[in-house]
Amino acid sequence: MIATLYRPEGSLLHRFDSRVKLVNLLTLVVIFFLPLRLAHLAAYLAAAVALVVAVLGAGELWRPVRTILPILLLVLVLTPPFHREGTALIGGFPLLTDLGLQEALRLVIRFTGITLLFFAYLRTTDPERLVLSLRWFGLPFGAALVISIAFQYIPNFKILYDQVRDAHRLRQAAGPDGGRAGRPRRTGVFRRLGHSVPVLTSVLILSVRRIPVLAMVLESRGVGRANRRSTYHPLPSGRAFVCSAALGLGVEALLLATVLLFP
Amino acid sequence: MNPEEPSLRVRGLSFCYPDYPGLPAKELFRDLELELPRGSMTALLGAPDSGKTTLCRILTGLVPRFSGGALEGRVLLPGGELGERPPFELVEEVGLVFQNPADQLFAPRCDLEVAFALESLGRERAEIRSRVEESLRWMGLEAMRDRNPLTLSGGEKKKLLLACLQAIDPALWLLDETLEELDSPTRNRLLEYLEARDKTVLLLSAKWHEILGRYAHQVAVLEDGRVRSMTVGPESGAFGKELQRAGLTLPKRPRKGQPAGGKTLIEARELEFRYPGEGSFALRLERFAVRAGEVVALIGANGSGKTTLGRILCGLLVPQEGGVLVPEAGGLEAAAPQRLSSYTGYLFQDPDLQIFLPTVSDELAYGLKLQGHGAERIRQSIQDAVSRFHLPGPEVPPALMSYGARKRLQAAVCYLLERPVLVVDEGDSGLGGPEFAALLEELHGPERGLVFITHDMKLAERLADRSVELREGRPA
Repeated sequence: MIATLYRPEGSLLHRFDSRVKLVNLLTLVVIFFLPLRLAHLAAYLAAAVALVVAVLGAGELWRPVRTILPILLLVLVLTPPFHREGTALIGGFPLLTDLGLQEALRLVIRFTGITLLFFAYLRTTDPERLVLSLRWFGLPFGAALVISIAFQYIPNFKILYDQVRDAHRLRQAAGPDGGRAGRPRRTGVFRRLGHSVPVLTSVLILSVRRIPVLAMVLESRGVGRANRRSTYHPLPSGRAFVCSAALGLGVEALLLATVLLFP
Repeated sequence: MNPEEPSLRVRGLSFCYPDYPGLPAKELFRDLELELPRGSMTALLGAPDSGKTTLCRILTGLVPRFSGGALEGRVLLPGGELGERPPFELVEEVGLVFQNPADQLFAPRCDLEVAFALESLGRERAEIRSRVEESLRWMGLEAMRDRNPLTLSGGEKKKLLLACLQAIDPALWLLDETLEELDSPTRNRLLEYLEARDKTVLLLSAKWHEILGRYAHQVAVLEDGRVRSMTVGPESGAFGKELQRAGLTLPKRPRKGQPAGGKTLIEARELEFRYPGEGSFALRLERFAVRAGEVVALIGANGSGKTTLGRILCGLLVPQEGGVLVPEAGGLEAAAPQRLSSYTGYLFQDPDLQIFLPTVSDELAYGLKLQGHGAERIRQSIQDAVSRFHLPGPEVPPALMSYGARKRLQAAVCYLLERPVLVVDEGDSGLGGPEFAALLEELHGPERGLVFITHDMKLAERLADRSVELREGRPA
């Protein structure tokens, strides 16, 4: 998902140094967790929305929101009953109070904001650069390799899933009901879920089977050697890095000022 | 280092995998001896289950390190005895291209795949860059630098692995069925390169490729757990008989099929297909038809569109223009993808993408259960398929079977589904000529049309009723 999220383009955010971006991202995430007023949190969310729209286009906004929409709805429905203090909004019924609703909105704003920020980061940062940034911040090579393999494997998992789904489709397409002869026809979500289970199971089996092979491949490509590892694609240094860092510091200062001015 | 010293000496090598449920251990090698003179190319031929892949992995320190098993004997490299040296210490001495290229690729981009081992060796960035560029150019992959390796065709994946090896340029190259899935110009380029640089090469193959006659300094056969040198070289007239004796040649017209001329089973018309967002490749075909009883070979260079056509015929890809017709009550009619998937069987290049279940019998029974067959019919079908396709046994876990055996299992699964048309994508890769001929014979029938994709022109000539060549997505 992460590697497929990345789209190489030339926007300012794409060109922004991945290390500086990472620091700004973490600061913004921390801000979303601060006990700020709801209106201020909403303003940060509006800023995150504006960032995504400005850098990636309005059409991109829906992608991450669509993914988390069921969770947002659940949060909206389930949070108020657990916060019954405040004034009841529907008659004397305490399951929906003004404070309960505020708490639900606060959670929705936090979750949406953080999702949008990570989406913007991953959409504009080459995964390889992300791993290099983590290593730059002192993450050991072994841990960085695990993250790197995981990042690389997630999109590969998607490719593998598609290939296995094709294989299943060919094998299952045998009966009048797409290969499910004699079984009751299932429709909608249940049918899709029912079809996904054998495919996911097969992908899982193939993935587990691949672990020792991957270990073989990594060792035969030199993973485990005592010498210092070099890097093919360096992180920017010199003027490019200084400019990005200065801009990043400016962003940090601005964020700090907004938090202090609008608690 | 003594220039006369061989690049590899194997002395008294014996190996046995551990016991697994349903697959008792048997000795794979016994007192195996092998010597590769420096700068020589050795073609080691062997039947699919003779242990070629295991031998390669032993020579690179991967087996028994990752597989377990009992290993005896000595493997001597110029840098010293292999012994307990881990694979990462051998990167510059020995390089291996796996038989199944998908197993060996893990990076998200082709250039990163090539650069990875150089980074492990701690090479300077400028050197890595120039080697990556040179290696990708050598294999004609420079335009695919940013592509995810898993989206490449089987042949392109092998090219990428060769580029990875060339970037490191080890002293000893181990090529496990590497000529399979490579087109003729790439085979030439590879072998010319290795000869020009005096590389020591051990090329393992389940079949004899004519091109090896020009480059191989010695030819040997791996059988009964030992390496046996050929008594005559490829230049000798008796060489063919030697190959035949070792079971490595195609029997004359082994296919017992009916003369082609039956009704049209499938027909693709006015096809046009492009992959969304993936370069300028387009498949354009006016007409491609297969009749009952017919065997058609689909040939062409890597990336010429053979697999794409195969996937269109079975409904896995939908062309932007044109369509695929199959017989219906009123004659040939355009078929929806769903219909094509239940009509045309397809054997993927990589068998592991079609094999998932714990045992051979589970795998064979799966499709039959979905078709609603009864237990007795399923039991009989499994017995029949195990015997027809020479599978090691119904309770054997496919994951522990050789690559060739997994290909036979894949074919058996497809056979039991009884599709009117079958597409076999590079089915000969990992199988010897005779084994592939036998496999086709089992799949073939008077009411069935067979399409097999191959790079082996001899195989196409001997086994097919006709060949269709694709060149950059168009009929040649």
